[in-house]
Amino acid sequence: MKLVVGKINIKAVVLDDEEKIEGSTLHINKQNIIDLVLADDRLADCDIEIAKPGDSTRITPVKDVIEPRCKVDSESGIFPGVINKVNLVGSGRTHVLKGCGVMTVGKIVGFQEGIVDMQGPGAELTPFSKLIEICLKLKPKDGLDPHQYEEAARLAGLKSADYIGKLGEKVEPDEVETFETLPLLEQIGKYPHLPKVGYVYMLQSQGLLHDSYVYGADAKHLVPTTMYPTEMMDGAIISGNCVSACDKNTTYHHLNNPVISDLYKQHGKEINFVGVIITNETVYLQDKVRSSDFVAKLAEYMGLDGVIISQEGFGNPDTDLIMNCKKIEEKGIKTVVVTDEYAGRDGASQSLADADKRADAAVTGGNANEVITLPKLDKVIGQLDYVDDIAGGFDGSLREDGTIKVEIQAITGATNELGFNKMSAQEV
Amino acid sequence: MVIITNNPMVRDKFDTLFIDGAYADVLASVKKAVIDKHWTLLTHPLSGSLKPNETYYRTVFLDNTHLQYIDMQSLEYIEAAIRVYDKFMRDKPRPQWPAKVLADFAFIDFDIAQSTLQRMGQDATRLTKGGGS
Repeated sequence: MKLVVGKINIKAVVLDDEEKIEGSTLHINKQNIIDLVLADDRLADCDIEIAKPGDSTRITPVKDVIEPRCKVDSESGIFPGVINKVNLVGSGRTHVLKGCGVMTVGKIVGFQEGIVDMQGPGAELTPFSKLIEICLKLKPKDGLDPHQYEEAARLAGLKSADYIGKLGEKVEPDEVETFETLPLLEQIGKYPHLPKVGYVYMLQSQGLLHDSYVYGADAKHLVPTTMYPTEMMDGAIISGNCVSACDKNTTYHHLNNPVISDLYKQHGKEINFVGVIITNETVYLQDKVRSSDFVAKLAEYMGLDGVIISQEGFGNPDTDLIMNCKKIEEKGIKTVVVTDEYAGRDGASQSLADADKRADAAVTGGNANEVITLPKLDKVIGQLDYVDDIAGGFDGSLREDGTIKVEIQAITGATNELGFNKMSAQEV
Repeated sequence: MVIITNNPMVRDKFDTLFIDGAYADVLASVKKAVIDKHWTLLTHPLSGSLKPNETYYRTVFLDNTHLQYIDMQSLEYIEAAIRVYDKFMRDKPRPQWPAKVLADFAFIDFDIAQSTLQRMGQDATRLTKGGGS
């Protein structure tokens, strides 16, 4: 499968009557997007605000972030099986509006979390402070069931990113990159002397506010399967995960998975990147055993020499991570796990809820229990009243002077377990 | 199968072994059942991404077939969960939540329990109060 990705650099977003991309400025019509969002009669209200890097702005609670993209001259669309036909994606040409994101804002439940500061120490911890954020502030109809609201909010973000992304279809990109993975036997034959490396992509899949979707299918009901890495770049996997802001994978992360992009950078040089195995993180222990058995079986079947395994979430998924690692290693295949830590405020406690001696190569995204004080910022997009109620917050988190003292687990993307951030740790 | 829970929403819908106590009490009774009654864990005791010093509710499913031995895997998982719980509570105790937030936590725990029953292929009505035999 071969995908050509054209990147259109967006340096300014303006609200306008006309919708277009001119130079590096994206012009969007606010009312058109609001109409698109409110076509879903489960939502009562939608407003749009723009936040720029460096602004004295705090956005919270953030639900999802989506990068505007579109397929070019294709019958398929991005986010297949969700808002476009369930066609196989990952080949042809895709245009991406780099430098901006659609961010859905609003609390689905009382403890909804996720802070993105556009300046200051909090901004350093989230990749989303570096994007121009097109924030959709959503309000549900009175009495709407949380499942329905979650779905409506999820679709509002995806539909808007799809709509805005299409403005880039006829625009000449600033940069073009090509990614290609061949069918397994051909790919193995192409670089016969390089180690065959695969990626085990674990998806959050436990229930409401803890779900991911693959071509629209609920990941908790899937058995592990293989995918071409380029399918992710067209939105084959989307996020319905709203809990644990610091280490959830937003849809933006799924579209821009850094494990995939880094493996491609070494593809044909140091390694032969032969494909992705997706798997889930369920609550039922029998599902965990079956899924990890299948993951190890597929890794062996693909003839892999090495595997990178990434996790999403905390606690229960630690067990899936260790089961995957252990069973793949037992096949004689080397593994590296990518995770984050809940090592206590002093960083001295056991980091994960599970462990095994075979998990001897690990990359961490940082310690989610680390405490940070966020300064008062001039503007809030969303609402702050819930800050005491979020993970990492506590009674008195929101102080009278407007500063917030929280664990970094409240910050969206701070310890992302795909490595989409700057923090890590080194053994000394 | 037995559902050990302190979540009134789960108790009201399903036949449960209800613990009128905290998250820690649920974990303690699960551990006791694994050791004393030789029951086996069916679900992970740290289900959901809500932290132990955040949510108040916990629901765990066990197989109540009495084995000849203690299932060591179940014991390892429940002991690890208790260690994680203690670590979080030592760092920062759970806040006094308003009723609305508590209700949301109960709902999430309930929903995960319900999704898990579906995954188990269990006929939820069989376990539903007044829903069947």
